[in-house]
Amino acid sequence: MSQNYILYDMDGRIIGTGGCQNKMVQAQARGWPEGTKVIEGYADSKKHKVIDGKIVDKTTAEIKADAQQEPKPIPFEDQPAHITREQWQSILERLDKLEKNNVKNKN
Amino acid sequence: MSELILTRPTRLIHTAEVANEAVHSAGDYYASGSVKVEDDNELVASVTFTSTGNKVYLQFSCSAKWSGAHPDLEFYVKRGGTEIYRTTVILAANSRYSVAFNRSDTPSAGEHLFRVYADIPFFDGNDHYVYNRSLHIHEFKAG
Repeated sequence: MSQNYILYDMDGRIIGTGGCQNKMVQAQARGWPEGTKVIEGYADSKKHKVIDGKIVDKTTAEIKADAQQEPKPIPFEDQPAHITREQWQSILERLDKLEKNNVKNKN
Repeated sequence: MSELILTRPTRLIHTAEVANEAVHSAGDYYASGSVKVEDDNELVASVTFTSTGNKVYLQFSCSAKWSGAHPDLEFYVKRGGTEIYRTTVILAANSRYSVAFNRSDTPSAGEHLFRVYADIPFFDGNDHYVYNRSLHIHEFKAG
């Protein structure tokens, strides 16, 4: 009862794959932008595209270009630091002490 | 407190003895590619299937990558034109998350289009993506 399907856009780019009831293959394009088409079959969107209704391999250049559009890793220095409220409170208290010491030294 | 009595089947139940369509995957969708999310209700997954009118169980998961500030990321599910679920995920700045939710529903018998959307109501102009989008819908036999 199940049929594999491939959703692809006007440029042949695969925008999704999945399984559905036999009679519902063409219905999988509903809701997606106009021009979205469906064919039966299985494909890997990273390696394949659809041209003239057939699954073909992407070129190495196309695979590289797609990879560049994927989200880049977040640099270590930009990642959030997770600390507890107790640790945060401790930092604030130490800053308060430093500020008080600075004021004393200036006086 | 009521007592729950469980009985053990006296024999194994083989697949052939389960009625056709009694328990089945109504449909599934998967896309590894990323979708950039802004404040314009981006469609991220959909499944269309013919329901027998029994209970359906919807599972969705994806990864999300956040840059810059930390806006709220909203997901909502529509069955046809009716919203049946909405959730908000608050993400820390510059981070990656896994997002997942489940929802049961009992649509009428007939064709149904289930769609999952992502949206950032207070869009901050930064790059935010969802990827590895997966939607599964199962329908169960009436009990």
